[in-house]
Amino acid sequence: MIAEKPVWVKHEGLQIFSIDVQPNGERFATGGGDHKVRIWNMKSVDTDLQNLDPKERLLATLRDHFGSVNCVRWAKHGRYVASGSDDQVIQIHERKPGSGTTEFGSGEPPDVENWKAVMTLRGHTADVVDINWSPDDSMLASGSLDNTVHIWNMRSGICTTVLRAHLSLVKGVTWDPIGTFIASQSDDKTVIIWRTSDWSLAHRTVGHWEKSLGSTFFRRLGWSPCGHFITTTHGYQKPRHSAPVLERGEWSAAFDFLGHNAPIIVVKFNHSMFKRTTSSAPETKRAGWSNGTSKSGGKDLQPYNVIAIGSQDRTITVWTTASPRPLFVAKHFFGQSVVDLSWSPDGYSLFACSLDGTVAMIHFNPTELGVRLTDNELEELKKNRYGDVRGRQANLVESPAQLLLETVSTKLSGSKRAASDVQQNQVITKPSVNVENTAKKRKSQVDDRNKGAEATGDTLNKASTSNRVSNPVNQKVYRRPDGRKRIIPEAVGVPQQENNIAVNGQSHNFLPAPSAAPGNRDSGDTPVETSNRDSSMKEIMGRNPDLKERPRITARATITESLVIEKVPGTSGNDGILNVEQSVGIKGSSSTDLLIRVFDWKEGETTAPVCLEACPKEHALDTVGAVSTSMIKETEISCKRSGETLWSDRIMGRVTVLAGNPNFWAVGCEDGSLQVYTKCGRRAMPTMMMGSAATFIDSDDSWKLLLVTRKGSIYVWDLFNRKCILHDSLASLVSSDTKLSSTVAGTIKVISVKLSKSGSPLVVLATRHAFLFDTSLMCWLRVADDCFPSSNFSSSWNLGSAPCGELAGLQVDVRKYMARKPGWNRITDDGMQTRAHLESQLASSLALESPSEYRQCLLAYVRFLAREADESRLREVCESFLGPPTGMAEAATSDTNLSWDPYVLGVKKHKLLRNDILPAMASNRKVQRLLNEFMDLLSEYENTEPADAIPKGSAPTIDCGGVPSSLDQMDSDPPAVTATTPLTIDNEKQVSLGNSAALETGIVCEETGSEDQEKHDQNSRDQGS
Amino acid sequence: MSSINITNVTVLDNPAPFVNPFQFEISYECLTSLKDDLEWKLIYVGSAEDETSDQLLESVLVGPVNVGNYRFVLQADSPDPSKIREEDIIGVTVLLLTCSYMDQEFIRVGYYVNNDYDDEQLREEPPTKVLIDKVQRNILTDKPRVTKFPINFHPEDEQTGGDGPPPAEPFDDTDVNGEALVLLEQPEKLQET
Repeated sequence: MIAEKPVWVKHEGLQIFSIDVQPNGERFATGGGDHKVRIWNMKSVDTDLQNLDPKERLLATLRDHFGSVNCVRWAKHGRYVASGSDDQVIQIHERKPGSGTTEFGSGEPPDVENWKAVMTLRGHTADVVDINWSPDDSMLASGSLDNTVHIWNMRSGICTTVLRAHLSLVKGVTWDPIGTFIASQSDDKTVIIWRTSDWSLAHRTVGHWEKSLGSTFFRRLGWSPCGHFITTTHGYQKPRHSAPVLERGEWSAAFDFLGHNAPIIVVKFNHSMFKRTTSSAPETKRAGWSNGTSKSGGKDLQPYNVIAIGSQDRTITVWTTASPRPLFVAKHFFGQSVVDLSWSPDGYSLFACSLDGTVAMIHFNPTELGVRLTDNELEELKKNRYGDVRGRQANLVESPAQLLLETVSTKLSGSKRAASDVQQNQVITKPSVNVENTAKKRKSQVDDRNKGAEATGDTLNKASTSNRVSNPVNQKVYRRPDGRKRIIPEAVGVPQQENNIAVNGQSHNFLPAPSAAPGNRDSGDTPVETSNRDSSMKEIMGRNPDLKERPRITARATITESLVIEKVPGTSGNDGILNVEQSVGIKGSSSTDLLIRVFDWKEGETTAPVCLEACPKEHALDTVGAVSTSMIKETEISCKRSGETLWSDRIMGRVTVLAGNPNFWAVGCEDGSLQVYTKCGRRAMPTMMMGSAATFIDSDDSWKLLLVTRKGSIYVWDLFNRKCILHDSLASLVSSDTKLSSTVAGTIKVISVKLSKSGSPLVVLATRHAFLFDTSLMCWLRVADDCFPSSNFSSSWNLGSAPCGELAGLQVDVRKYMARKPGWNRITDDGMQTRAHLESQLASSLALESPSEYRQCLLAYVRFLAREADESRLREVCESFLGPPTGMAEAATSDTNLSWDPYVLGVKKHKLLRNDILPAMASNRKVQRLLNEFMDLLSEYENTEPADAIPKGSAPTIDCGGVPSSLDQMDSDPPAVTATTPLTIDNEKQVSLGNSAALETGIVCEETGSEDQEKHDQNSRDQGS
Repeated sequence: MSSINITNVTVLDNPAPFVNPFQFEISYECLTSLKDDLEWKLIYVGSAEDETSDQLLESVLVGPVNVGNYRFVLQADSPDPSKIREEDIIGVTVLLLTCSYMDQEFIRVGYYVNNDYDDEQLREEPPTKVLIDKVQRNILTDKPRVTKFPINFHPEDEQTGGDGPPPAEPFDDTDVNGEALVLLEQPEKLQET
């Protein structure tokens, strides 16, 4: 035995949390407290090659993590190394061609090898502590401080399953080498065995961990290569710490490895089994449990396992399952706890790392450990015991359609990026002369400068400058229509063709201004900025998105923060009467002017906005002999366009709200009156009396006016028809809210009330809960709330990101608000919350009539159900999108109660089912039977669907080769969504070919369509190399 | 993982007179293509104590962002001396080069900059009024301070890890039918068919 401590393996002196040897034995990886993963050259620890160039020792430093790296694990094929970190993500690294780089500014020499992160697995909501690859490398299991084990599909990088049963931090995961189970160990002092077939809990074991004391960094348990034992960590049997061993099948603690003086952190079985060569080997009496095989047969030739155990007591012990005493005890190697171990592929070297920031290697020889079984012998042994294991390692595909849909599914998730690539490929750019010129000018400028610099003879820079002259940067610079400078960088070390693509890409976005679409974000914003002079008008800026979303005409009302609607219980003797109280926030509108602007897009963008302004005027009135008022409050209403007054009027009392659109104006006063003006300032109606002051007002693009009074009444009128559409009260929101919030009973704070895009009143309370009034149900629906704080789904709304839908906007508000509250604690989700959240999101987006969000939610929901393999819900969803059975459709339509609407928010349900739901379901093979069933059903439907859905232009063809022609048609199709999609046509054409053929055609079509894109991908890959 | 790594920054024309424009040749590698442009900014820290005296010298968009290695020259005007307190012009200050994606800053490179007179005599006895034309600027290029921030470059990939929603997409056939429709798609036409 030779032991060594290579001092050069270090992570800036910080802890080394993990070590793993590449299965081909060429490298080993370490992960440390410096947030880095380092890859080391095995040759440098080879006893024969000690004199290797020190520069070749460290092959790469991977700096992709933003937290301590707790675990590094090589895939069995050795191509990838996965690392889990405190930053909650798992990074997958791969060696790319070419030489390594260094991080700019790190001051370290460039890496010898070019290792790059190729995949990031996001999903854990706390530190990732232990990870392990499945025996066939198709999956990865990760244990985290969020109490879960995640199972990741390593082909797609999608988390397929979340295992939730541990009640505390999960600190170790291990795979059954046979592939049937995984085991996880947690701070809840249990070990759980999970079935990999359906991810159900096979056994929860309580054992000798119960009495364990103190906490450990890890509980890295290990599964023996024979598959029979699981050695666990951190057990305690008075008076010693132990490593309890579970036996397969019973899953009960069979025996313990005893003797360590502190908790055991890690155990690691040797990859292979060993056997004695000679009977003269020091053989003590055999323990009865040896390894679960029959005890007959050559006693000494019985193969046994070799296991290494690392403990907080800073020692490592190595045992064989053929002996009750440790083979070897390594003391004084480390100054702190041993935290990870790894065996070399040949089985004779053990690598260990410690929190003291060092590693140690111990090389054994066959006389010490025995003779290693060959791989074939081990396979044979496993086969004898478990049968052929290969079939068990994956959920087998039962139909080719599943595979096809899986491809679609992965493409769906990757489609966004692909789409942008495609865009770049497709656009034929007309690089405007300007661009070219600027670029040229710029280049010459740069060159000039270089010459200048050279002329000065500055020695410091000479080398780099001359270098640059020989190789000037070939970049293109131009100004975008919005005045921002944009640079198309020079691609370095890539084929010229790629460069061209880069130049072409996306420039269609930046064509000269006149071609920019109306409603362009920039032109839309400009007038608004000028209107910001009024101090009370902060809201205007905040409401910009509305401008975009209402295409033609927009009205803006002043919305004041923190109006208090107060319910006064019984003071006036009337129960349930609502009072609206204005808090300090509005600071008396008497002193501030109210102002709104209306943009009328009909008249072209050049038109200046029309402003409606309300200025309070106070006249001192000396009433003769008057006792009371000496002041009369009046408000002057004036309507202006770029300084020129269009009309004006004077109203008694203080104006609280204004609203307007190009059809009408509405002015609400403190005394509860509401005046409606026509466009030109005629009083369209006598003053309407609302009973209490108007606090919120909104109008849509045409004739709808929404009003909320201080007493909490809500009205919606259609002013064109002079009809009240809705009269209700906010009372129901008050009562529901008092339960939730600790505010004074009967008070709610309302932030905004407006008409949603679908035209229903939408109320946002100060709690950021949003409510939508459903006019058919005649009641309030809560569409956004904070009921699901730990839902995985909610964590994915990114705050303040690019423009999102209406619902997302509300959600983000809720989250921002929640985030401000201190004392947020990490609650782990049991999956229930995520599901409920998704379901309510789905319903909410439907209520808000926000189709894109509806589809998003639907996709996420179906993916979630597929992942959880929730068949009954999936079935219900699919059925609702499939509709009543064929043949009964006609009968059903006559029955009004059961009539099934084939469209949802204007999109055909079958299309959603085929294009979104089914591919999403394909992500988990566990639900493939269900998937197949619905694919069959769906194609049946399509076969029976009336032929008139086919546009006249497309001649039906049976031939699969007819796809290109339909592609042409697709290209010429307008993007507007129609009831019939090209894909539908294809499927309908294939009637006689049967289901699977129809499906294939669909896929073929898709793939043909993305051929360019794939080429492009190929290019990018080439470029990457 | 960060989709973008700076591989090198070469400061061109350094040292140079204070009034000369800044020029940085920036090389970066891109590991995954991004939809949006990168935004590079150059910020001159006018005074160490006061953030408000920072001057944004230049902000450029760089794209398209495809996989590969790229380089470009970022040129920026010299800071406006009138916005810097007299006593802060001469001496050591900081120049920040930052890069953001979708308004999220993910990398920041800080350089020390030393401003001093190139004339020995002026150095010895600095005039009461700063002679800006005589000030020489020296960026200490060998010690950049690099700070990285974790951001999610592919928010739409959230679904891979949890149940995140796919990117905001309209109802259309982009997913399955390929490029033609993607191309024609205009924001106004998205919703409510």
